[in-house]
Amino acid sequence: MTAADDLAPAPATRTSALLAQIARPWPVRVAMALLATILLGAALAPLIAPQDPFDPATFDLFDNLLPPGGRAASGGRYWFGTDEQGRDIFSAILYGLRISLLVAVTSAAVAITIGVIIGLVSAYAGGRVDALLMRIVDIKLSFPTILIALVLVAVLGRGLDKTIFALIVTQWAYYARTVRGVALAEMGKNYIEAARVGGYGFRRILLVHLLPNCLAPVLAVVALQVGGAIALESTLSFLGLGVPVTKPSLGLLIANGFTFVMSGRYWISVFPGLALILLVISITVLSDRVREILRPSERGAG
Amino acid sequence: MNAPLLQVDGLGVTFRTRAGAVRAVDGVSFAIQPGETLGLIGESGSGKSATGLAILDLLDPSATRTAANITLAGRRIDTLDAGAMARLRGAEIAIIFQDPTTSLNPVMRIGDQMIEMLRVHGSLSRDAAAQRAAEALAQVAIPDPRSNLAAYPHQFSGGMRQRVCIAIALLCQPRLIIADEPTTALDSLVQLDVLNLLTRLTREQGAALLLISHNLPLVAHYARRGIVMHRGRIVEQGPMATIMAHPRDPYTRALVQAVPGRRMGTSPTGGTPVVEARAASVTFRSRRTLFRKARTTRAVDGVSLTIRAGETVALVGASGSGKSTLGRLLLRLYDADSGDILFEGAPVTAARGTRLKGLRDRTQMIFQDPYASLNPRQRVIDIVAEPLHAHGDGPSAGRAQKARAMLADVGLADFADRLPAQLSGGQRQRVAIARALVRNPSFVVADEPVSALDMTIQKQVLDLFRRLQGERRFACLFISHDLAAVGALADRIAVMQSGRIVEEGPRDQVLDRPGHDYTRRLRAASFG
Repeated sequence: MTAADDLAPAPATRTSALLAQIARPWPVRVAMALLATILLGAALAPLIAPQDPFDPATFDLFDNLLPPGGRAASGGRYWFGTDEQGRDIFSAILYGLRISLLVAVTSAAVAITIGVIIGLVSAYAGGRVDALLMRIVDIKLSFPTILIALVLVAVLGRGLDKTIFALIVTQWAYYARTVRGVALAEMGKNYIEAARVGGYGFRRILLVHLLPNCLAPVLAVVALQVGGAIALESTLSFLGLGVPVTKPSLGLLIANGFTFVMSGRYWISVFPGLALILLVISITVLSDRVREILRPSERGAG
Repeated sequence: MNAPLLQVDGLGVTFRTRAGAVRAVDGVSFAIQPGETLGLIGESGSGKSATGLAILDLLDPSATRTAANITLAGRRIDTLDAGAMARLRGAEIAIIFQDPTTSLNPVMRIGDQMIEMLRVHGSLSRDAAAQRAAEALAQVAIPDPRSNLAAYPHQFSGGMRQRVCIAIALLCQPRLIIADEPTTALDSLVQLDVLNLLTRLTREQGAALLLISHNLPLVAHYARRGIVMHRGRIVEQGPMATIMAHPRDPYTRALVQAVPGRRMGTSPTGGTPVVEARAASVTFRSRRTLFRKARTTRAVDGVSLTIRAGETVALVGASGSGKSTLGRLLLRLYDADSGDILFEGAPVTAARGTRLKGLRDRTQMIFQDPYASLNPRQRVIDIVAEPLHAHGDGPSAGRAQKARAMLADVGLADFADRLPAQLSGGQRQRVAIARALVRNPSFVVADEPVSALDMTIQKQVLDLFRRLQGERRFACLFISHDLAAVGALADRIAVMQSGRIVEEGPRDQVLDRPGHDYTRRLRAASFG
């Protein structure tokens, strides 16, 4: 009778088991299927899209403003309709998704890296470093996101890279603030003190001990921010300040259709809008579930 | 035999959890006579708190009460509707919880909380209620009761807050008081005061008391009759004297034996000094903010203490006495403002870089809370191997082997791949011990290493720690407020009060012939 304080044998978690656990509730399964469909569609766009929406030479002006299911002059059907140039909306959505995802994921990845580093250092160093970094965050957060993005894009000009840069600048502070808060709470726990008594180095404490325990709440922000980044990029493009017209993202597509909504040609805006909503919602649902699972106390349960 | 005040028949409580239904209380039946103090003893998970809450229908929504027949003075109360039950609570049965900080409303004045209680259950005018509340505060020995009615809970210490809770519980002259671990969150000295007060007042009012606790000697001190619960069932009930002297059930027997007894003999104390504090002081300065000046507190005040190879020095004192700070000072987690700390003869205050790293390698710490002291994302084997990694102890295969051997030594050979969340409290504390000892340190600070554990588990962990110390001969500072655990482990005892060591000497001398008044009071406050 040495270790028999407790029974409850729990198997080590494997990736497949973890995945099965994540996918247990049906709304999560729906979100996963939806997200997989969207990602697959975006990835395989050149193969499955009937038309290259970036190449106006492939459009047929006779096909312009056809409603969903409208018959093309060349015989086929446009299931999602066409815009005023005769562009197939379905193809445009597939390609638009690629642009939107590229902008959102790249900017989020860079913003997370910057924010996590600043948050961890701020919490670990404390004192003046912490005060200085957090005042910078405060200043950043006190400006409306859209204002910063607008000013940056206005100064730098339109373009994919500039939009990504603008989104990084608007997002990093949220991650820094979240990580710093969580890290402060974790710093107060004895395992960090134990690491210090043990003589583990600064970098090791930060990366092996502090960082993994701060990630779960970061995922919650990722959910909001990736969704938010997609939406913000769409907003910028909608306002004519985001990605170039020749490479329409979802937001630009919605903007293009805006003038036609009033005249009853809803499909030009609504279908890209639906794609945007489904994408953001499925990311949110999935990351919410992942965050729930990643809490160590939830392992083996649920 | 009189008619019982409270009769509980076949009480069951089931919790719905993610892992399925858990039967927390299963077929529990007992009776309390008017004016009697009944002890309800059990460790965590035994269902003792659920039993107390179930009587008042205060269980969490995830729990269901089943097949109970509960009568209060002959009247069924388990079938009452929500409104009738609410009128009964406080008026006829009152409850006192463990944590007085969270059981008082922090934004409401003490007086208003008491007056509310009186006016909900009676037709007193506001002034009469205030008068009555002031009397109740005086009864529980709160100084200046009239003006303290206007105080907020945070203005009181923990012990005073619990006394306010007692005053509130007694306000409406209930016939039964359920006290669920009423003093577990308090210091041992305060604990004695509060329990004496609680039992005296219930006796004076003629109320019965259901005293729920994990602490067997404490219950035996106050209750004549007791019930022992284990895994949701009553395993033994009867007079406390019989339970203590002749436990029949195997679990009760383990519980009685888990009360730490004094170890025979002590280690010879002639070893070489490992750690020495010479007139060391630490002052804390609260951070100055925009709105408040910095405040200073002298946590450790001119302390001198020597700990020799192979010996255990127990550091005893109430919370806030500076004992944890002293422990961390010896490990150089804090710097001394004045005085010196010597480790193996060399001053540590100026240690930097490699010297500090060497010091970190030779000294270790075990913390009170095993839930917070292990990195929740690391597997057990990695936690134990971490010090080996930090100090470059051989190739990684060799490190894993050493870590496994250490785990086997603390009896966790099969648990290498678990995460901390998959271990019980006692198992986690074993992991913490393994991590502390894997590099064979020469000095270990153990800060209340067993106070967060159940009694039977405490004994196992203390036994393990004692064996390992006997084998490895490290010097140890054992910080504790529990004199029973101290008797089981220590060679010498130092008593700390307000940052100073007020008494120091060999274990038996300090425990049997305490020289300082504070030590005598501490001793009187430890049951058993």
